[in-house]
Amino acid sequence: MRHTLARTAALCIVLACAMSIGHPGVQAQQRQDSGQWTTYSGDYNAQRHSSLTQITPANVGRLAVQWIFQSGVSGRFEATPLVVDGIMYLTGPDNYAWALDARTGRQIWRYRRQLPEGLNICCGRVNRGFAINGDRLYMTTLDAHLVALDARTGNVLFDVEIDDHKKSYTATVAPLIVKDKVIVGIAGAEYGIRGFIDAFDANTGKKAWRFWTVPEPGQPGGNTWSGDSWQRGGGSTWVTGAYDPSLNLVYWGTGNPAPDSFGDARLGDNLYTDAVVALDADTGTLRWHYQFTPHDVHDWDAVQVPILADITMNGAPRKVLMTANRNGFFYTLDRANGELLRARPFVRTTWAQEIGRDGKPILLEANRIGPEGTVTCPDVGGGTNWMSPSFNPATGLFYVTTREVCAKFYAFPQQFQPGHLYWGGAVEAIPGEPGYGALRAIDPVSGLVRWEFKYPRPSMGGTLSTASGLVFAGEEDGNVMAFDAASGKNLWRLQTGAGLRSGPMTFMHNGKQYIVVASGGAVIALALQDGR
Amino acid sequence: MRKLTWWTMAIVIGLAAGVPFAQQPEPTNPVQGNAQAIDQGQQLFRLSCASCHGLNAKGLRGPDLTTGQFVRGGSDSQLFRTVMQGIPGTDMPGAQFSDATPDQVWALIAYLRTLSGPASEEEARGNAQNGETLFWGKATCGQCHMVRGRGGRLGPDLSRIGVTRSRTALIKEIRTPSGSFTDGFWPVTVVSRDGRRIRGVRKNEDPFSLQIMDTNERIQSFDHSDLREVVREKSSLMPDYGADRLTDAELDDVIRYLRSL
Ligand code: HEC
Ligand code: HEC
Repeated sequence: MRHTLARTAALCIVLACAMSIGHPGVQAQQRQDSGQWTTYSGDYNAQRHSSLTQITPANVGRLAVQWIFQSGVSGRFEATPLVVDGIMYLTGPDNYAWALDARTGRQIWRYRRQLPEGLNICCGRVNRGFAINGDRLYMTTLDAHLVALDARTGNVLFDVEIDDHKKSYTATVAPLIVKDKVIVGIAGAEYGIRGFIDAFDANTGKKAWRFWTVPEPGQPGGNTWSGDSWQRGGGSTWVTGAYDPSLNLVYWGTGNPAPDSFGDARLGDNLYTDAVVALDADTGTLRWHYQFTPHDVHDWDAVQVPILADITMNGAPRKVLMTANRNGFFYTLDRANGELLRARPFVRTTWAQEIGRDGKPILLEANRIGPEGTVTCPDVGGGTNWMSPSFNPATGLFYVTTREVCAKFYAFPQQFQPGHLYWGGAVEAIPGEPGYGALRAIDPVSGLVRWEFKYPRPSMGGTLSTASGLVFAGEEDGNVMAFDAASGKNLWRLQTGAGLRSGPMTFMHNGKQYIVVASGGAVIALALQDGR
Repeated sequence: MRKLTWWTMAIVIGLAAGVPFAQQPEPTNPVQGNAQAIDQGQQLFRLSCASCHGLNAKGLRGPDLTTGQFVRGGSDSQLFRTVMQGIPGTDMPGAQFSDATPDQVWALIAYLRTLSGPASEEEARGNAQNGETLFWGKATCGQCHMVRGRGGRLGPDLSRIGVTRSRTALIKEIRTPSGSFTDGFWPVTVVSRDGRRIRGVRKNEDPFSLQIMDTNERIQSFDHSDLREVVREKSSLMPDYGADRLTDAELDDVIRYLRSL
């Protein structure tokens, strides 16, 4: 078997060399059809919809564990592994990373980063995965660097700073390869960073462009920030975006303004926080933006993965971008210009009555928070969060893990101090009301929920759709599950023993389709026992 | 500020290696009374602790932290360990949950110290001996609760409750237990396909199965697919102890008893 593996690897080098001559990013995207998983969301359109059909609603009941990889590292997995030519590339907590034999789960190499002391990390020492381009892997790090590794050895090819971790910049996002560039986002809004999206030259690691998600005075949008609040305005970009090659636009979600809750420190709409921005892939120039939550005081980052699809609305074909937002509304936008086509709540929302014709929310009293506290739905975790949704073009449904929880929000004045949490508020759980979760299938044309499958607890697991008509999802009490994509009927499940936080993925190797999930410190590969 | 002092390192290494804590020199808080650290501690508390301990640390799901008394030990090093490691087997998570660094934990402790004045000890009321008699007798608490290995199983063990809950929280739990429920004790009624109803407290649940202890203290496991319904009760299996069942003076006695354990 070693022999086969070595040969596959050798083949991979030849292919990779051939590919790096053309537009490697586009090549990477095309590989998805050959049963590989080459980018965070599976494809540029971020549908997390695989063309693989070996596992079907009829046979999914026979899905069985093929191997389990125990990482031995504490902390949780939030990464989606990549699989290229039989090798799985995976990142974990504390910037550990591995290459595994995708057939057996056996380790090929392990990368471990020496992280500096005193990093300011608000919400988990996690990482969301690699990007791959030819025989190079790219990973962002908790100390806000971009590292390129050699895919066959894990050796470091280059290591460049994205920004200064001493200014509380940190990075957890899986990069996105577009043509000859590596596009990355940043985190740290809870510490009052000023957010951005960066592009680096994939070969040299040289900075190609930067888009500031918080504009300075004099720039468009600069007047949506009072005083000098823009300097620490937040707007993190910690989840991977999508790309439309025909429009040459990169779509990326942006996070909450800082301070999270004390909005009086930053009067105005606070562009481009809690928005999706459409950037020219070559220059980083802003083409359009849509802000979901103007002047947010609930920490409702809009870093959900935006899904691109071509669908029919009112009898006309539309190129759309769809997203279920942390603020509890589902949105369908025209992705050429950002025009709002549909917005409807997909969970209980008490902060806005609806999204008006002008694209702005019509606010309710429960949106206002102060030192006395206000109960608002959804809670700080949101109607959904960073977990990946998926979309099946055949059913026309958008599959997303949702959370039905409310919370009591407070706001307090707070002086900014570098290196200190810049929250300006607090959140209390509501005694006796822990809430619940559900997998929901949303029709992006009407914005209505077509079916749901309830979970006893609010969950944070991603979803995967396959062309055979299946949806895979994970929940907080440890189940990985398969559902009929049209009806929502549960067809298969496995109790893995730890909450599932990252998105399931699938690949084909040696004629066998695998489903892969991370659970606790382990990665689990599933397939039909006899391969059929 | 951010640099680790040698003994902070020693604690961390000691903890990691399972070295008995007492062998280390007893560290004290390097930022005790430091205004900046207290401010940072307050921010951290609001972000990572308020959801359980309440915004003013007066207690919600977690205990009141303003009484000046800590069951797990009130010295700097003991508090450091509690917050850094959490309390295994309880809801209290370790610093891994909040991603707090040792410096931040010291800042949190500096903040906690400002909440409890030295003389904040609540006035002693009630009589522990009367309370004990009531608990095991007329008030029937012992039918559902264990104290030091004696008593019923339907409700939580109360051997330590007097020190992990504030007086206010205890009064609320006893007078009106139905507002919120302890994890592992949510009241449910399971309705089988043939209409049989089984009452109990929920031990665990996922989308497919449910584990309960029924009112006869039997542990039962069900598949949701075999059940007609799972009714999530609004009222606790514990009765409301209004003034008619337990006078204010008797309540003081019971609380004094629980506090004395
Ligand atoms: C998920 C809920 C939860 C969160 C979040 C939480 N706690 Fe706790 N905490 C508890 C519970 C429950 C206990 C009581 C455990 C026991 O002894 O039974 C506790 C106990 C404690 C104690 C010990 C009290 C004593 O009397 O010895 C301290 C100190 C403490 N918490 C501090 C903190 C701090 C500081 C934070 C934030 C970094 C925090 N807690 C976050 C639930 C929580
Ligand atoms: C019929 C059974 C029953 C009786 C009698 C009963 N309890 Fe309870 N008690 C429970 C159950 C079940 C719970 C857990 C559910 C909840 O929180 O309401 C509970 C919860 C509690 C709690 C909260 C524990 C925690 O961990 O937060 C306290 C305190 C308590 N009981 C005290 C008492 C006292 C004191 C008495 C007598 C005056 C008493 N109970 C009588 C069943 C009972």
